Amino acid sequence: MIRILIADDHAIVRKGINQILSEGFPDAEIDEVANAEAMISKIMESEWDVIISDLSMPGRSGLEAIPQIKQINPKLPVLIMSIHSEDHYAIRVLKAGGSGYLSKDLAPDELVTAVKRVLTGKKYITANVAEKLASMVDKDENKPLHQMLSDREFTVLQLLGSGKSLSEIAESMILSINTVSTYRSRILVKMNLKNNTDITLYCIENKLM
Amino acid sequence: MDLNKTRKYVFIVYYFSVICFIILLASSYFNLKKTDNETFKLKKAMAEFTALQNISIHIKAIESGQRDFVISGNKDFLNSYYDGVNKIKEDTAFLNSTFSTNSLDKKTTELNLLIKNKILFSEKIIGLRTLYAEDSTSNLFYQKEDLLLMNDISEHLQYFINYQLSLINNYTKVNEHLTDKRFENHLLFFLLLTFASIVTYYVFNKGFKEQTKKENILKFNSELISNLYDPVITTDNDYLISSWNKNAEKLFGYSEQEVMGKRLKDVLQSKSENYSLDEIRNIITEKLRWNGDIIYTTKDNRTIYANVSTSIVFDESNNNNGTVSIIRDITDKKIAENKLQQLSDNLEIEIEKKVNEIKVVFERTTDAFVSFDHQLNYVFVNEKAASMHSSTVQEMTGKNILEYTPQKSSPEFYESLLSVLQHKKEVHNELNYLLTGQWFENWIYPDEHGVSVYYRDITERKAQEVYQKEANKKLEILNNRFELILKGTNDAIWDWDLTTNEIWGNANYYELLKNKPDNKSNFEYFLERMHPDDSKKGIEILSDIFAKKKETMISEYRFLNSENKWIVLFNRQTILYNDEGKPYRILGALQDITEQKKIQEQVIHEKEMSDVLINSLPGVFYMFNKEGKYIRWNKNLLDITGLTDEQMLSTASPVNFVPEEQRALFAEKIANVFKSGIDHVEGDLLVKDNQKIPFYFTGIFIKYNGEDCMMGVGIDISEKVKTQKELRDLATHLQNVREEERTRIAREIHDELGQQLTGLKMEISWLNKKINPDNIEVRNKLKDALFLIDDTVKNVRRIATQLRPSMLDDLGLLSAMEWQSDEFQKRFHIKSDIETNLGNVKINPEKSTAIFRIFQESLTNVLRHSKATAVNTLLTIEDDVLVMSITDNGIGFNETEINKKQSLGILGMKERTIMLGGSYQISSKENQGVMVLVKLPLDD
Repeated sequence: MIRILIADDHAIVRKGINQILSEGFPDAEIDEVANAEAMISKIMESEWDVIISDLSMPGRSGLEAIPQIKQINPKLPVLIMSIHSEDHYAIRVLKAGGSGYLSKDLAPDELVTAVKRVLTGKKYITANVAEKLASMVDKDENKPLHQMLSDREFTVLQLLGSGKSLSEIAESMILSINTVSTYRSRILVKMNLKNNTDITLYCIENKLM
Repeated sequence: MDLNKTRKYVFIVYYFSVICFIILLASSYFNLKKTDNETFKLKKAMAEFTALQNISIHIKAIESGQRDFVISGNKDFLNSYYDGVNKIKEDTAFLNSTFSTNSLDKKTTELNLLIKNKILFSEKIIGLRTLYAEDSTSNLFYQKEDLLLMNDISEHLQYFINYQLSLINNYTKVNEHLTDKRFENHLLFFLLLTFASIVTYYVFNKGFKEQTKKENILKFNSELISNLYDPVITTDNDYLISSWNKNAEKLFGYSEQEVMGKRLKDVLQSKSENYSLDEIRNIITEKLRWNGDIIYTTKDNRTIYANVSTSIVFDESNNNNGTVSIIRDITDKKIAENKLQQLSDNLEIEIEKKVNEIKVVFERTTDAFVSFDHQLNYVFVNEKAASMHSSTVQEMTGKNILEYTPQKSSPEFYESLLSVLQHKKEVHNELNYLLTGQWFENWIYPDEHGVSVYYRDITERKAQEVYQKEANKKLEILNNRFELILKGTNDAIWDWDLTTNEIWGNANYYELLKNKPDNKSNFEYFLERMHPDDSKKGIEILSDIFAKKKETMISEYRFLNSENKWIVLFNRQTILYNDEGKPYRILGALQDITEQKKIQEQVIHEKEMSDVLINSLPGVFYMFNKEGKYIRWNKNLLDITGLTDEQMLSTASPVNFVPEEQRALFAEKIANVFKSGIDHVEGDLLVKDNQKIPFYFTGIFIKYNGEDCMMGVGIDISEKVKTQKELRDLATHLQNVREEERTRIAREIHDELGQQLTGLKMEISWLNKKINPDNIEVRNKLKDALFLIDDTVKNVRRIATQLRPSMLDDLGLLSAMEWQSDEFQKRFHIKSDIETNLGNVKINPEKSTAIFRIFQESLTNVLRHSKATAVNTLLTIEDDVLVMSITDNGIGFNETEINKKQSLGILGMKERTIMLGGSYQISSKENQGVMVLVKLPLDD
């Protein structure tokens, strides 16, 4: 017998989910709560095999509740549902520690599969999400960061590293300050730095001056 | 100190030390002897003492042996008894030999007797014990006799011991005393020796030094002698040569070996002019020295004149030790003297001859006359010439010209003399004698003996000539200048002779007054035509000037010229006074300044007007030069800043009128005005009590009095700024309200409607599954319904998201922007991407919303206007500032045009960022895309 906890602020949705789950898991014990606070206290009170939570609820969202759930029971799988498409939410849910994300309009077809999957301790990831994840790791990690810069950006990096101001660089490169400023922004983005001090440090560490 | 004395001192010290040494030795010897004696006594006493001790021990041994044997009957104890008896015999024998002779005789006898009794008594007891065994002796054992005997012995022994101890003590004391004494002796001995050696060393050392010094002096003397330039000869007291230095060798030709030990007169032929050699010797013996000239004949038969000085040398003991002679070769000098004597004799004869010849003639002339021979020696000098040189005729005659007239004092004179000597042609000239500055007129004639000069001092005449020349020159220049002035000046020159009251004037004068030259003018003419006010004042001033005897005056007056037109005259005049102090002539120049006056008045008028104008301006007015020095300002500026006119002049500087943080901007703006001519700026004016008032300042470049200046006005824009702020606040409020409303509606639609539709869909899905698969009609209907619900959900989602994307609240700014970017790309096929270093940084909702909305609006602009195919967004945090730059690759726009249009969308975005303390910039060039740059500080 498995124990499932559903958290959603809309009774009608809870009811729908309950129905789908009852069909899929005839001998499951299913409980329902209407917000994140109630969900947390239920989790603390008794043992559950899987949590199915709406993303946006009044008060704390399901996404925000994940870290706390993981604190109480690290192994408890949490499946987040919302009416948003998974494109933008799935990865965030996975990053936060959730076991999977499911758009509600897919619930009638996919929910049981998803629950079964997370019950085994694995993540529920659709092909679409998998592709997104793959593209995230598709960056060349071994290359030094500055090799991702264009020639111009690299010149600006060196000048910034040597302590030149934007206006000085603009003058020496015969560019407008705005352009140089854009180069700088791009450098900060590409190299994941926050300010000129970081740039100077990077230049010194990599002997670029 | 000499050596003898030293030797004496050394001997004294030596004998003294020897005596001290002997005394000490003797004292030590006796001391030791005494000690020895005492030690022997001590030893003897010690031996006696030991003997006494032994007796005491052995008597006890006898006693104990006897007693132990009596008690135990053991014969072993008798061993100690017999041992004691034997030993005690030896001891008593020793004691007897020692003590029998001295006062202790009686006591000794007693002790001997007692010991004997004891031994007898003991023998008796031992015998009894041996015979009768234990019982028989017990009575005897306790007998008092034995006890008394022992006590007696003890007493006697003690007496001796005490005596002996006192003896030993005594000897020891004496011994100690002697030892002390010995130590003292040794110490004294050592000190004496040390002293003696120090004195000896000192004396020897001193003696040695003296010796060395003497030797050095001798060495030096001998070196001196051999190195003297002059020959030196020394002899002993028999006049035998004892030394002959190198120079003597050189002078006389004889070497040292040749002459040593010989008599001087045998070696050298010598004679004196005044004395014979014997006479000289006598003088030397009497006066101890002689000095005079001697003529010698050398080895190679030369005759030598020498100055000789001879002295007797004494040794230390004042004995005649010979002579020393220093010889100076004066041969050359003597020869020269002789020649000179001859020459002067000749010269005298010659001069006398000449003098006689011409003296009579030349003595009479008042001018100076001198004659030179060919070497330019004075042959004749007359009184006048001598006095000119402040010398006498006798003194000068025969001397060379150089002695009285150095060549450099008048090179030309020398040249003339030489030329006359050479060409035999007379010369007449006037020359400056540089040494005194005098001028001389010279007549130089050649004659058979040399040259004659006739000369006189013309300095005074020369000076007069020069003065005259210069005066003439000056006069000429003055005259020329005056002529030129009269001709060239525009001034009307007049000359008023006060004695005749006639006024003369130049052409300009008549032209100026429109008078005719034949129409004579005088003071009355002037008074008549001057303006009544001015004429009255003029007379007053003139009489004052005369009274004070001032020489110049300046005046200005109105004058009615002969054409009856009023003109303004400017007059400068010089008054000449006679010896009595009365004015007799006035010279002056007149200038028509009518036009000038008019212009001046106009300028004053203009200035008054501009003053009124700038003071009536609504704001502040200012004008300052490049250095920031204020030249003009209006009353408003003084009122508002609380400064005074003086402070404005002395201390004020434009940038000081604005708060510190705005000064750089103002300096830049002011510099720009001087560069490009015009600029304006908004800023705060610092006024009284350090308050700030927002102003709008203008600046225009202007040349004022030939100086580069900036002029401008400032207008109080407090009201405008306030209104702007109010408007902005209102806009912010409306914006927020709208955003809130949107959020609320979006949530309502999305959450309520959306969720319900989702629930509905689930219901129908359930139905769809439960229904009989054969009922196709119903199943199709249900499928349609599901599709409809799906569509509706999508629409609801889209509408809600468009109102406000829930991701902005759920997932944050970056996710929302990424979603928006994806949507944009999907819908409009314009490539859009976002690059960021934002990471997990959370941006507060207000700023997130603003950035998101600006992003949305910018994308909309890209879509509408740019015709771009790609848009790139950079979202970065740089030094706690959130920077978003959105760049497209579209057609761009002309910046000036967009500024003119000020599209509402851009204005809105700008306002939004300004409200949050940030900045919004949009820049573009045609065909180079557009870039939007937004910066928001992340201070929270």
